[in-house]
Amino acid sequence: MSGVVEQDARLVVMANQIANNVPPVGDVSEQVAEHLRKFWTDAMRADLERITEQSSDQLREEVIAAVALLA
Amino acid sequence: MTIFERDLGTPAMMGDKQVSVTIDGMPITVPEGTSIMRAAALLDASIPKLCATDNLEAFGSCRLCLVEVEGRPGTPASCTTPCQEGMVVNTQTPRLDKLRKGVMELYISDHPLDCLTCSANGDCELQDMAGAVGLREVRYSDEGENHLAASKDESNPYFTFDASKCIVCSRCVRACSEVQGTFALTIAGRGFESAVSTAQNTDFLSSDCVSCGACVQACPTATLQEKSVIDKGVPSRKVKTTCAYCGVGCSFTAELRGDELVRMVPDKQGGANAGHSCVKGRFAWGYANHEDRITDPMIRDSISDEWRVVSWEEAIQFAATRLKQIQAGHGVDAIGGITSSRCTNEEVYVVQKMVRAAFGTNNVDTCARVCHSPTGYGLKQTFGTSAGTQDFASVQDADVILVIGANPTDAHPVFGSRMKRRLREGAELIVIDPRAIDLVRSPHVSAQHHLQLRPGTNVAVVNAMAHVVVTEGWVAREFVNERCDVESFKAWERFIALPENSPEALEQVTGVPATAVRRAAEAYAQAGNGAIYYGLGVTEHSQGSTMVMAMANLAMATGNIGRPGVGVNPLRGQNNVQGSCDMGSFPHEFAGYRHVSDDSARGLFDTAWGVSLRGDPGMRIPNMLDAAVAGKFRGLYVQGEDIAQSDPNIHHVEAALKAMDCVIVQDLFLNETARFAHVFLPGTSFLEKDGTFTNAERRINRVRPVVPPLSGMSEWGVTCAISEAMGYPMPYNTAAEIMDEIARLTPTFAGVSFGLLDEVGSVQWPCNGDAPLGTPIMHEQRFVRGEGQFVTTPYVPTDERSTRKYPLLLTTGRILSQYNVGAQTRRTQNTVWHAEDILDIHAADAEARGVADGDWIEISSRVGSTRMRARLSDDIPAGVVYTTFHHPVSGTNVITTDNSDWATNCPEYKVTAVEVRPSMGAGS
Repeated sequence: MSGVVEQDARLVVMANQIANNVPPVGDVSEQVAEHLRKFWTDAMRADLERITEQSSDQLREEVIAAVALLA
Repeated sequence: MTIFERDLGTPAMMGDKQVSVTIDGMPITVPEGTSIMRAAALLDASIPKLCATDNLEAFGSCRLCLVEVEGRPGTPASCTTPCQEGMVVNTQTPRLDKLRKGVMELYISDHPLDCLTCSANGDCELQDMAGAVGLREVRYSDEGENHLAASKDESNPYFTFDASKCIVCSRCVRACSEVQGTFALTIAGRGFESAVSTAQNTDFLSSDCVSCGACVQACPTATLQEKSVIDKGVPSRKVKTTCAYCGVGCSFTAELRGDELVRMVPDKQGGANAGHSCVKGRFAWGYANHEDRITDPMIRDSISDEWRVVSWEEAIQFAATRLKQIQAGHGVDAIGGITSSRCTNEEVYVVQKMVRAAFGTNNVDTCARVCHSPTGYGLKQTFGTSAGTQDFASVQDADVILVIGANPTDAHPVFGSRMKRRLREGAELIVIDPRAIDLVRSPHVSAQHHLQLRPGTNVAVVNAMAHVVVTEGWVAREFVNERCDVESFKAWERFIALPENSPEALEQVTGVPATAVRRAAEAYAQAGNGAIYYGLGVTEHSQGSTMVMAMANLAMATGNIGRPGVGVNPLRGQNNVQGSCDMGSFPHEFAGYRHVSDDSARGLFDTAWGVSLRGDPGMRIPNMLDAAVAGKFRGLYVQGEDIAQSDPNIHHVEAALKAMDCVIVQDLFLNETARFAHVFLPGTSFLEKDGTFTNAERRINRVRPVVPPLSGMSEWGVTCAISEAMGYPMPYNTAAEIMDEIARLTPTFAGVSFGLLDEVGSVQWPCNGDAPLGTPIMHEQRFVRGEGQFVTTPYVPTDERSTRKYPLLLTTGRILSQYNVGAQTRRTQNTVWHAEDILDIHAADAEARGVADGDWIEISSRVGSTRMRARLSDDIPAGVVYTTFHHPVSGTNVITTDNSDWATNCPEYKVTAVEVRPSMGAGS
């Protein structure tokens, strides 16, 4: 596995894990987006956006919605 | 026994009622219950004594401290006689002189008369008292029965026990019991045969002794004495400073002869330790002068080259040039730095400042990433700031103590002793841990509740406890309504009351019987004062942050916040975890936990630092490593952390380090990470530092230079030099100036200065205009965030589960004698207790695999395997195995995975699915 592919895989795992763990109160996608804004670098968010466009089937729907909120 | 500290003879009394007495014609008013001895000492009318010392309860055995009380017959012992209103006491009369001289003569008649050649000459209370009572001759010859030929026990690596010099005053026995709480010593025999002995009548090394040094500290003769004093002589000067091991942050007096350290003596005035110590802080300081210390800067073009010793100037220019080349070729964010929880606040602050201001990126993180980052996240969400709520002394007011995922007697031993003292006084104990840690059952301490949960199910257990609290009607409604955000409480209450959170529903998941959870919940909720103490067994999970918030919910719901005896208290692993986090080491926060996107906060730093700082968060350590493997991150400054041993999935860490163009390691030793470094910058031991550490109770303590830096430069000075070479000068003249800048820019530190710390000893932040001398207990009137925030905390199982291929769950931890990756303690005689990492395995699991006690085994996970010896243990349940990570040769973190906490990326060290097989040996 190349380093970039490995890094993408980690981002997918991390994003899905966030969506799976933020408190299920209110809009989960907004909470995920807020978490990504506060704790992820611009480059990591850009990579996640690219991953979403290329292969969104790996991502939970709340993550996909969160990425849309970040745009 | 040190002779430098004033000793008032018996402990202070704390009652409000006062009594007035007259001693030798001088009036004094003291709290009721104060001994005559202490009252006299407060008047500087010191009474001769041998068996009394003010950190032990009065014993009344030596009969040297006799006094006369007007209107009363006899000559009572002043240590055991409390002052009473109107009492008139005489401490110096001809009758008392004669009695004391007679007592002293008997002691000396059975004591070697070798004062001039004795290693305690000039540092011996027996010698002092002989002088004090005017003893000039001993009428009894040494031809009678005596103990002068008693043997010497030198089994302990740090101190000797010379029975020929023992006066059987029992101070050592009482110190081991009352102060340390180990009960390793006793008085064996009767009458003339009475002698100090280990409880099992073995030598010290083979006994239960934990080498805390309390007995040595208490001994009034040369019976129990540091070998370093015997070798080097009695110290001639002293410097007060702070221990650099765990997050308790004990204050010590470093005692020296010239520039040679002779011993470390715990400081009675120390706010964290009150005169107590553990084997690491008291004795394991030899690493500071170990032959492995690197004291010259070194560079190399490639990690396959040999190191080349160079001048500081060349090393600094080499490092700066490489970092600038990386940024020119790969972008400003292609480099970053890691700060260390072993370094001072001032050293950490300048590293994060260099990264943000000189590197122009927020790619700075700290080793707290891999330990307590979930504490930062969870407590900020719920309470409003990232810090424990109490001071250590608060435990003395706890009625129920809830210990979760922590092992205080091993990892925070001095606080562990304080906790055990409270437990012996009758506080109830709940332990939530897969392992039967020492607190579960040890002399005179027994946990009433041990919830031996499956690794990875913390949130389920605490949710179940909270479910019981809510459904049984034990919520502290008044506290919640007055102090907390009621809407968030209602949402949490609805969630936690769901049947799926009941102990019965979760029993299959957690492995903890529902009835046990219910009893523990009742004990905590109905306690009066319920206090939570937790460690890395909480944070190092995929739901570490969720668990911190779940505990905060439980504490708020039961009203256990904001007064002595309660609270939510992280026991920090390393000495300055709290401080390194406070100082702005996280990539998303400036000092004082203000987000980099906060324009107001960033503006302050922009102005003060004269640069335009970034408002977007930088990379965390795992992000940096992932980006390095992807070729995007190529330069790293590592301050005092050994990520190639301490971080999980070592193969991945090594691949990342190998992929970088410039790794700069600043450390005492060529550690595992240095194998991948291009620049090695020698660091300073705690004995060479000038600055401050902040311990787990937010206590800011001074670290004073005991000896000059062996490398010739301070660590902060080196960082500033690199920053200047990068084009951003940081012209500090002293560490005090750095703290002054921290205080100017950090509201919770606004009142802190070296001057204040030198004046008052220590302060706990917040220390500012509202609290000029600090804040022992937080959230007393209101939470830092205003109202306490309840957060809904669903249990989400970790992805790391046991399988047919990896059927066991590995959990990792620490032991008393070793510290973290062992870089320091492995270079001391502490290895006599723990020379290698050992795998604890339940007998049933061992038998099923053909493994016997002491066998070599191979342990494998989905990311790697390693070998070590096995030890059969019933401290862990079947299905769970346990080991430490103190030795690089066993490489425990080769097998831990890169699973991490969802909110902070703190590694999930505490849950790794593994298999264990017999192995032929270390290298097979």
